This record gives sequence, C-alpha cells and structure tokens, in this order.
Amino acid sequence: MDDTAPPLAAAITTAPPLACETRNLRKIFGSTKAVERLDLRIPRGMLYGFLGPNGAGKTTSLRMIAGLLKPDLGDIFIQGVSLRADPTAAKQPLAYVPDDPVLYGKLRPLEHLEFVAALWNLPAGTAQPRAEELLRTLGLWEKRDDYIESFSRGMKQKMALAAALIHAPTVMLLDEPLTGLDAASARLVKDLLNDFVHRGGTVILTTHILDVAERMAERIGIIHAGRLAAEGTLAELRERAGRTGGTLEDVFLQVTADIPAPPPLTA
Amino acid sequence: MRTTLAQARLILRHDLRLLWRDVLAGRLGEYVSGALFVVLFLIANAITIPLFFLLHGRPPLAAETLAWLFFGLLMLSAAMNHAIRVLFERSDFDLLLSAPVSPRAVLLARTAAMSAAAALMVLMFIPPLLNGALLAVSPRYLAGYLVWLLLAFAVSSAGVWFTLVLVKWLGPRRARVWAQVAAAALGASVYLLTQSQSFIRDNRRSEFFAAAMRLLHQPWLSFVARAGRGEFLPLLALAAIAIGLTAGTTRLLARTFIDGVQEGNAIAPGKRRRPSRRRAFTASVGRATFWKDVRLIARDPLLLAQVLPSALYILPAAFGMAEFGGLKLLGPLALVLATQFSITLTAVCASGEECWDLIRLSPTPELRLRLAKMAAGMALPVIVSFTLCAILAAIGHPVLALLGVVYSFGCAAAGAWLQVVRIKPTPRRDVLKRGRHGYNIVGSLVAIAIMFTGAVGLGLAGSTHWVAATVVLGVTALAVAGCFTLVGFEEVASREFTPPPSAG
Repeated sequence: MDDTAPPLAAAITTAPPLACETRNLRKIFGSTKAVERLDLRIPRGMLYGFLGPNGAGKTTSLRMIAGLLKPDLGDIFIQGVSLRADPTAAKQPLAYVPDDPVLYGKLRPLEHLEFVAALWNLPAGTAQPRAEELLRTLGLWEKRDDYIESFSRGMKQKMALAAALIHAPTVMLLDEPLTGLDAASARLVKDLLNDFVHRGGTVILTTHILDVAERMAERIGIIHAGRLAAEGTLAELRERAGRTGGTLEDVFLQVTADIPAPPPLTA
Repeated sequence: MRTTLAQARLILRHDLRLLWRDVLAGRLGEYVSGALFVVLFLIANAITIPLFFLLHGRPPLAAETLAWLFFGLLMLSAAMNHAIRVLFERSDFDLLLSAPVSPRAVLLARTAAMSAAAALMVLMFIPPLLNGALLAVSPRYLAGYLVWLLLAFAVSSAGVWFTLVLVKWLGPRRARVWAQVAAAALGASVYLLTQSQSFIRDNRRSEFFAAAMRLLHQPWLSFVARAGRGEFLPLLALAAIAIGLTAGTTRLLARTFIDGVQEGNAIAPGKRRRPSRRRAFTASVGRATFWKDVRLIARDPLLLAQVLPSALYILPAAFGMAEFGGLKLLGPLALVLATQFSITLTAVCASGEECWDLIRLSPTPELRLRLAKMAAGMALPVIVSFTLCAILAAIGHPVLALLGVVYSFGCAAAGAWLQVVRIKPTPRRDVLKRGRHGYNIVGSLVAIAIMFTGAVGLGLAGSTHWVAATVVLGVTALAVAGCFTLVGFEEVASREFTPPPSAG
C-alpha cells in the first residue's frame, strides 16, 4: 500500500460529489415496471450516453432525474444534493431539454428566455446579454421579433437548448437533442455540448443515433426493460460483449438481444 | 374506384363514432354517461308529454315558430363552432388528403357530421316536445323529426358557408378567430332573445309583443313550424332548401375547403413582425411570470374571442338593474364583471399553463408563480371594474364607488385564488371547453356564490337598506376571508399529471 495516499475515509469526504447519482430508482406505471433498481454514478465533466431500445425507460429515468416524475423508490442526488430532501437546491444546477420541447408559442425568444432566467433567479444584468449571445450563437437572432409558434421544429429545438443554457447549468439532461435538426444545426449542437463538457459541465444524453453516442460519449449506459443492462466506456462495453473490434451498434444489439425481432415487411 | 357517396359514408361513419365518444367522454365514464343521458331524456319526456295533454289543443303557430327559431339558432351556433373544429383542428387531414379520396366526399361527410353534432345539441329539447305534440295533439307532428334533421343539415351548410367565406376573405388563421366570435355572439344573442323583455320599458312591452307576433306569423319565418305540423308544401320547401344547400356546399366549396385546410395546417410563414421595443429584463420571477401571462392572454385572440362575448350574458341583468336602481348599480356590475372574468382568465393562466415541466424543473417555489398568475388573470377585469367604480364616484357616489372597488377586488381575488390553489393541468385550448377538466368547478361555484352575495350587498348599499347591506357585505367579507384561510394550496408536483412517456 502507498503510504502517501490519503486514508480512504478522507478520500471519500474530500472527493468532489458526483454530477448525478441515482440509488435504487424505481418507477412503475400501473402494471408496467418502467424503471427498476437503477443505479447510476455519473462523474462531473463528462458526456454520458444513455441508450436503450424504445420503451426501455430512458425518458422516464431522465424525467425522474429532472424532478418531473416522482420515483416510487430510491433517491437521486445532483452534485451531492438529494432531490428528495432539498429539491430547490438540487434543481439549481440542472437543465433539461425534452425530445419534444414545449415552449410558449405566443412569446418572442427574448421574452421566453427572460422568464426562464427569472425562474432560476438569474440577475437581469447577466441574463439579458447571455440571452442575446445564445440567440446569436444558435442562429436565432434574426428571428428575435417573431413568435416562437412560427418556428420550425429544428428552431424550436434550438430555442429549448437556449432556454436550458440561459442559467449556466452544470448538469444537462438531453432527451434526443438532435431530433429534427439539419446537419449544420446538429453539428452546432454537438460542438456546444462538447464545449460545455470541456468547461467542466456534465451532459446526460439519450439518443437513438448510436454513431453520436459512439463519437461523443465518454461513458455509455444501456438500459433495457427498465434495468441498467450494461455500463462503461466503449472499450469496456466491447470487451464485455466479447467484440473487441465491434461497433457500439454490435454491442447494443447484443446487450438488448432478448427483444423479439419484428416480423419481416412484406412488399 | 368508390363513388363520392360511398367515400363520404365511410368517412362519416368514422366521424360519427368519434363524435359519439366525444359526447360520452367525461369523468363518469362511457356507460354511466350513457345511462345518465337516457334517464335525463326519459325525465324530459315525462315532463313534456303530460304538459301537452294538459294544454288541450294545438299550440299557437307563433309559439311553434319561436321555438323552431330558437332551436335553429342554437344549432347554427353549434354548427359554426363545429365548423371551426372540422376545418382547422382535426388532425386527420394529412391522412385524408394523402388518400385517394375526393375532397367533395370529405366535405360532404364533414357537413353531415356537423349536422349530427348540431342535432345532438338540442336532443334533450326537440324530441320530448315533438313526442308530447304527436301523442297529445296530432300524429302529424311526426314530421317534426324530419324537420329537425333537415334544419340541422341546412344550418350546418350555412355554418360551412359562413366559415369558408371568412377563410376566403380573412385567411384561415384570422377566420378561426372571427368565426369563434360570431358563434359565441350568436349563442349569446339566442340568450338575449329570450331575455328581450328586460330591454323594453313597461309601457312599450305590449307594442313590442304585437310586433313580434306579426313577425312570427310571416310565411318566410313560420314555414318551418308549418312543416313541423306535417303540412306538405312547407315540408317540401324545407327539404328543397336543406338538400340544395348541402349539395351546393359540397359542389361549390370543396376546393375552398381543401385550400383552407392546407393553408391552416401549414407552418406560419416567417412574416416579419414589427421589431419589438428593447426592454430591460426583469430579475423578479413574480414580475416575469405576470408579464408572461398577460402577454399570452393579450396575444391569444382565440381565447379573447371565447371569453369576451360572455359579457353579453350580463346585459339583461344590467338593463334590469338599471331600471330598478339606476347608475348606482354600476357597483354590483363592476363586481360581477371583475369576478367572472378573473375566474375565467386565471383558470386559463393556471390550468392552461403550457410549460409546466419548465416550471417544475426550476428551483422557484410554486406559490410565488401562482400568485403572479392570479395577478395576471385579474389585471384586465379589475381595471375594467375600477373604471366603472371611477364613473360611479364621478357621478356623486364616492362611498359606493369605494365599496365597489374593495368588494370587486376582494371577490375577484377570492375567485382567482380558488382557481390557482387547485390546478388541473389541461391543454390551454381545452380549459374553457365544456366537459373538460381545466376548471376547478367546485371553486368556481363557491366564487360565483360569493360574487352574487357581494353584488346583492352592493345593490342594497345603493338603496336605503343600510342594515341589510351591512349584514350581506359582512357575510361576503367573511366568505372572501374564508377562501384565503380555509382553502389550502395544493402542490401540482405532488400529482402525476404528466402521462407516462410513450417512448424510451
């Protein structure tokens, strides 16, 4: 044993808390177990890819972490603060972008961002320039006088991203953030997320585009039938699946192999 | 290739199924709603059939004409409302327009479905009356059922014409608003028609009724009633009008209808709006929420079109009050306006909040947001009410004006509070729809009771009955205080109002 290493207890107390931790999380809808005994430990400063087939429990898990759904069992910690015990403090660093964002159609982009900034108690002097900068960065500045209801799906997605970033969160939860975006916008969002992570932020992202997860995510969790079926870096997942040279798609299909194949389409 | 009629029948069957489920949809469930419906129908028959036996003989033609006019206008109002839904709000047009179905078939089916909806609107009134007439007076009243059906087709075609002319003239988006305004104004005018005696001074009433009787005997108006009595020629005329209108609607308006649907479903073009005035952000969450909700109300013409015409319903009472107590009764009027509209607009702001997820995600305490929503819902009604009180003060009744201000504000605040303490998240467009869950119904009933007590109290204060006024206003004050102290704040977050996600 290395004598210079700090004692274990000291290491535990001095280590920075995880960005997000779930303990024994469970959610049941009627007779359907949406999420069962989900234990996640996501360190700060990484992009975590949360994958799974349709109906696996990704969105439910993300909504529980965001505090939008109450878990039936278990607890969630955001940067060490229990969402159950102190929801106000736990939500302060959080941002959540759903797959189909709902925005105020009859507001203009800056009015929407003003409201969101006020919800997170952001001083007006900070919020206004940041809102304007975000609109410029996301290519929405030219649309600043239009109502959001006239935006296309991709523009709404970018607007939701701007609303998520306005209060400078440190943990972002993104549900299928690239849905509906054109290639240039998708690149812009990916660059923004990478930059966010390089500056110490944490991103938890669900996606069906495995290439994106493969290229961007530092760690990947695969959820299947409400349980965490596999987790690790891409190399660890490959190793576990016994496919050293395989792609994430191969690993994903192997981990979720017990799903019955759909019947073949007939012409 | 199927014929237009066969295609129309197919679509109509599907539409009628949806309509029937919509009629029975509610918190009671389909079977209980259906059973309740049958029981109410039997009760209505049990009242009207003996009534006709007691009347001995045929009702006057003018009364029958008035009844058919009343039901016709009600059906027209329902048809206009339904036309808006059929034209702009149905989500199956992508499917229908991409299928090899003729636009005429779609329009014919939709007109028929609108006729069914319009006919259902008066189901509880027309059949019981007809049953009474045909059992107690003459079996020829059986023709009334055919008149009911033909009238439904005629008014539905008229509704389609009206809505599509608006579409052609104003474009689908603005047409939606103006059609809603017209339908609401028509609905209110039916009510005003029944209350017309309130507008006429006592000495002119007999003159008014004589003129009304002459009008109701005019052949162009009374032929519907004659058709209902089974007279052949009027029945033939009505059938010709209904069939002609429906055929003409289908033939001439199919293209306009499809254009309207396509334009209405398209994403609004990026029309350049007038640059908004640059305004400094506010850091106060209360202020930000207040202004956000005020903007959302002011920028929603459809909502205003639904809410504002309800002021027309107050007119007869206002005229009646004016005859009874003169301008002193501006106080009660101010209170009623403030409370009624505060309840409605606060329900829209609170239950119709579009971004609950955003609010629940934020670290802001919900109570602050709800108080801001309450303020936003009350702002416009209270301004109108205070203006009326200012007029009251200006014409020499400062004490009454002060009481009006205090009680209007108190009752409006109580009504708004009852809407924000218990929120039932509902899509914004559905909050004001009948049978939906957006309203806190119990809260609204309590608030309306307080409103009437307050209005009576202010009315008494305007007379010489000071003791009674003090007692009634005291009771109102206690009731308002009770709303704030006894009805507790219920967290939306404690309820799982978000449906389970369908994916992931």
